[in-house]
Amino acid sequence: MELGLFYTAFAGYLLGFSASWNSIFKRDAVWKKMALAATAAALALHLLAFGMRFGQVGFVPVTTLFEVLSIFGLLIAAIFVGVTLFDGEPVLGVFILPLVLLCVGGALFADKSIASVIPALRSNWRNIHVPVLFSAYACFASATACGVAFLIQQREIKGKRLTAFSESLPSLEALDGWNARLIMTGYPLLTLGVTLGAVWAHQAWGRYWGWDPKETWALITWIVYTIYIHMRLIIGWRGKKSVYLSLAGFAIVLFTFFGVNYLLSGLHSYVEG
Amino acid sequence: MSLILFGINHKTAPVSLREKFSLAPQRLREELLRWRQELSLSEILMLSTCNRFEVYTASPKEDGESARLRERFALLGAGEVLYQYREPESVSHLFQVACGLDSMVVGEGEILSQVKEAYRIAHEARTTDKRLNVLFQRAIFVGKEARTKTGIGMGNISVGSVAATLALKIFGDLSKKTVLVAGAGKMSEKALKHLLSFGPERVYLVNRTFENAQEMAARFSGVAVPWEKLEEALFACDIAIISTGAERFLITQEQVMRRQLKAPGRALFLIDISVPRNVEPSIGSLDNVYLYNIDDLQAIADENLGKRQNEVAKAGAMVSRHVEEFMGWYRSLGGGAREVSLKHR
Repeated sequence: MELGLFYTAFAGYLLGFSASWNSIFKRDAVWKKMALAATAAALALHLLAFGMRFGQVGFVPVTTLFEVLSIFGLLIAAIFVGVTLFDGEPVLGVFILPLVLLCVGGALFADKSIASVIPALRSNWRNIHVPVLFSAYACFASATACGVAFLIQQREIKGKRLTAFSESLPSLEALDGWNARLIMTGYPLLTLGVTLGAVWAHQAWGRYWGWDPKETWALITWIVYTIYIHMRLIIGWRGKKSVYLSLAGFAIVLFTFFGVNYLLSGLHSYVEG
Repeated sequence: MSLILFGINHKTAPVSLREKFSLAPQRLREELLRWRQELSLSEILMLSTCNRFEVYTASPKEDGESARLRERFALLGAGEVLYQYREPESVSHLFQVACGLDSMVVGEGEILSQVKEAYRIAHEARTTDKRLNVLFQRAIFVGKEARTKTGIGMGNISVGSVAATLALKIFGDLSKKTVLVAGAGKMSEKALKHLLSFGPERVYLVNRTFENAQEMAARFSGVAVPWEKLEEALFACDIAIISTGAERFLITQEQVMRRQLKAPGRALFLIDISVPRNVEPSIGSLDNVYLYNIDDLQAIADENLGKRQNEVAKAGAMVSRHVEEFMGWYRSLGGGAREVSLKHR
């Protein structure tokens, strides 16, 4: 049942993505509506599936690769729906939804069985620390998608080669604005997540900070985004420079998340491949 | 039964003749009543714009109204340049007109509101009945459909509207932005008008002759700025339309770099309409600066016009389908058979 919902959600996300792609090239406003509606419906099903797994597992399911990818896709899809409802363009789905499809699509191939949780992780802290951090990462991922859209839009306007993309994408200021807004949303979540992690680490391992690879790279992520906010708010950076910095931050997020787990070892590496 | 059209347009008659036929909306009503009475027509509608004058009539039984109309047009001096159609060509022509396929600029939108207005006036004057009512209602529907289902009316095709659309693409919302116009000229005024329709917060007018700046400022509700303060105004604006007769570069890279240093994130959209160019071209490569000259804007306008042309066949096919459908209904009116219903899809 849960898997059925999950597969249907994936189909819904796929539909949403192709609808937003179509909305770039076709005139009918129905494509934009379909992009939002399909993604929202898929998200609802995805939430249901997630809820069912939560019920089965007993706590927030973020242990196995399947669960991690699933929750990531869910969070990013939620952000897309939120952004679009707020004042975004469903056409942003062309940039944000591929991330969802990657996560959820990847999850389809992962081992879907419920994993037993090792003693170190059986803590209420996990129910908060992990989702908070994941939410931060999802914000940064979505911000990156908007940043990529900005770079494409800017290249077209600067180069005076306008295509259907520049015609249907939101303005440069809007895209740069969403990039910033999403990072500003993720930043406190990141700060909170890392802090909670330290508190939990003290409880579980007896120290707040141990320069474990995951901790170290999460800190580096935090530093890069702090620089982003500083450059933006204090120095007044806008546009390309700001977006490049956000891309650098996201690259570090990816490494913090995937690279550390699969390339480095340490106390944090227990996500099975 | 007949649906007849007599008319002249920009393709057949020079403006000097079209002028004579041009009727203000207030006078349209009395002309309709007059023509109907004098020419013994059952239904009549007039479409009068600066590019065309067309008379549509319908009657349950043809009884020489074509001849009377031709005579009237000849009397008014249009005997040699008029065109006349009867159904189904008259239907096809009207549908094409409504779609903007017969306009000077293909796909233009004004003609549709003109058709709506002409119908409204005739309908109110009660000079139309079932045939013309349905014909024009259907024509308005087809005109709308062509613009939503095809690209016939899409894209900006004037330099001014292209510039305004680009400004929106860069800034999104212009309500907190400042526009600067340096110099004067028809083209810069057109571009300014288009920008103004999006409600920028402030407009600065700069001119070598301060009185000219003041005159423009009065017309556009802006602020006249003395020539010496041009750089200051440039630093304070977001969008600048430059159109002076200067022989050398008025806006230099060094100036814009200084502006960007002061406010690193502040985007600048420079529209250089002057010939020779007033803005140093290398400025276009600076971060957050967007520079378009008149050739760039014209190229976009031309490309959009080309795209519209490509849609003509599609719109034409749509018109043909609708003509067929309409004629199906029209013919069913005549005989004893029951009237075919004309669905609104």
